[in-house]
Amino acid sequence: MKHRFLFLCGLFLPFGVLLGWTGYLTYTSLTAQQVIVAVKGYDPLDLFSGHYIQYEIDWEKTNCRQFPEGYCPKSQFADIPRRYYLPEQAAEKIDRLMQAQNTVSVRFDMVFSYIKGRQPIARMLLINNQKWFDYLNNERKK
Amino acid sequence: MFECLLLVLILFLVLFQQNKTDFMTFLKHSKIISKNQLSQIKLHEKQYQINLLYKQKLISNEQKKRLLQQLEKPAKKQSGQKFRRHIIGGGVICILAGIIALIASNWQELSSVAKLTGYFIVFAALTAHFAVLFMKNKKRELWLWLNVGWIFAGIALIGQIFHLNGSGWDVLFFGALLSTPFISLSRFKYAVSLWSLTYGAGVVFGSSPEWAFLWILAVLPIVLFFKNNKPAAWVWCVSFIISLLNTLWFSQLAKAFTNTFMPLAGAWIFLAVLFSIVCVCRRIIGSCAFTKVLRSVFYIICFCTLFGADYTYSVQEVVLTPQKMLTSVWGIFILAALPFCAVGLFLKDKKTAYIIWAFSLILAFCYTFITFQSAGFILALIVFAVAALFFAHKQKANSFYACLFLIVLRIWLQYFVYTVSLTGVGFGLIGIGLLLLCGRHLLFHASGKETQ
Repeated sequence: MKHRFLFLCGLFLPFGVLLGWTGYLTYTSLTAQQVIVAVKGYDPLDLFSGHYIQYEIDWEKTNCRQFPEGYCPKSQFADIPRRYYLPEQAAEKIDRLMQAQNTVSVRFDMVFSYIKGRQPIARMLLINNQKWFDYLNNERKK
Repeated sequence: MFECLLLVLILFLVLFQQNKTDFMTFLKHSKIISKNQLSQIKLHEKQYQINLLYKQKLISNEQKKRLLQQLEKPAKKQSGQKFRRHIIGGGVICILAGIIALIASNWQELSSVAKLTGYFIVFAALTAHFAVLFMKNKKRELWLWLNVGWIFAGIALIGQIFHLNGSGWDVLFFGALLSTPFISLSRFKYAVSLWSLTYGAGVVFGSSPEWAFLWILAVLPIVLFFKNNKPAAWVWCVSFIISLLNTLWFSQLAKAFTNTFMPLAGAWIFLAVLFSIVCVCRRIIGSCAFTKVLRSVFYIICFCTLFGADYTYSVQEVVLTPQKMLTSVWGIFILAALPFCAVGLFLKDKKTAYIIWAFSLILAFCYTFITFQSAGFILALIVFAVAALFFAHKQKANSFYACLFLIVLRIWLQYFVYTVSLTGVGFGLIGIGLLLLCGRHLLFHASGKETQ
């Protein structure tokens, strides 16, 4: 009986680890302070493109006062992944918009869950201060 | 550009096909067809014995005919059944892949909570089902590998939902660690080799190799719990060696050469050291289980180092270029060489195997200097190479045609994802799967009626 219990514990260990990890990440992203950081397009073309946009953080357009430190913590954002995954068709449209960011007046921002000393977690892409899917829906209606 | 390369590749394959006589000589040389010949010899022996019985008038002419018919029937029946099973298997795989592609193309329409809930429900069900099968001592290998695949899928899913940092190598490392309990229970002969490949690649090329050796201490209790299983001991042994070598050598010395062309030199030195260890151990201990593990580690790390060195050299830019396309053809050439190499090694024709392996490595390193590569494509290559090795070793399918199939599949998918979209690929795959199943039904149903 004891052996069977231990065996099941061992077998369900991966399940537990993944569940715990997900729980931790969910808790962190929900409880952390949210900061809005301006982003700009970055060459997104690779063999698996079409499902995400690739961006760079534009610190010049970012409000640094929103951070608890009072300045932009650039080093903390240095290692974050610069990919934001989107549906196949939306990715193409947003990607085009990002590439034409300089010619068309569109502002891109990324909402991050931010805790000092930890890696920020990307939560939502904003286009002209709207959630990206709201923006696309509004554009379609126009 | 891509079409031109495709034409060149087809031309190469046609030429290769025309030289089939040479190919057959090679097969004979490496004793690949010996198994088939052996079964034919056995059949001839039995036929000879029946004829002998008839000559000695121990059986009548009718009895002799019946016996001969019975001898021939099962072989034909078995090969027919196998062929039917392969078609059904191919059809089902195509349909499943198509469904996965369709889900993938509409993936972002689902909410994060729905994705994660669905994932964990399926995971719990899979693990519970495997546990039940294991306790009842029933066939469970397929479910075991489904669990392993599901772990990797989960890591990728969580990473995607929370937009986490980390390379593909980290996914391999973490996935291999979590799948350790399942691998320890596997009955598949090469489970440990596959696991080592994954773990080794993750450790050597992951973002925090220094921690690998400490991580293994965490795995140790799990493995010790399954200590009665032979694979468990192997898992521990392999992971220990990889981690130790990595910590002592790769992370300390080879890292010093980063950002120059020196990773390649570092890789060569690393291979040389490993090869020396294998040679020395074989000389001292002889051929025992420990040296077998070392040898398999050597082959696996050869492979990882080759791709890893390539990755380190060209990690900076991820842009679609003609060079990348050229590199893909290089990958295909390597893949084409791998089955021969593997077959040669497995059948102990070491001289041929080493020549081909060395040739592939030299070719690969030459191309590495003049081309660029992306991480995702390397991973895809590794997956296909493992599949090719598996086919080659199993010898259930002709290694050459298996390799051709993989190459065509890779090109086909790449081409269609670009031109049609993933949704189109999904529908295409489902269509092919249905065609295979319907074709198989029509073909064999008709032939069944004729024979009746």
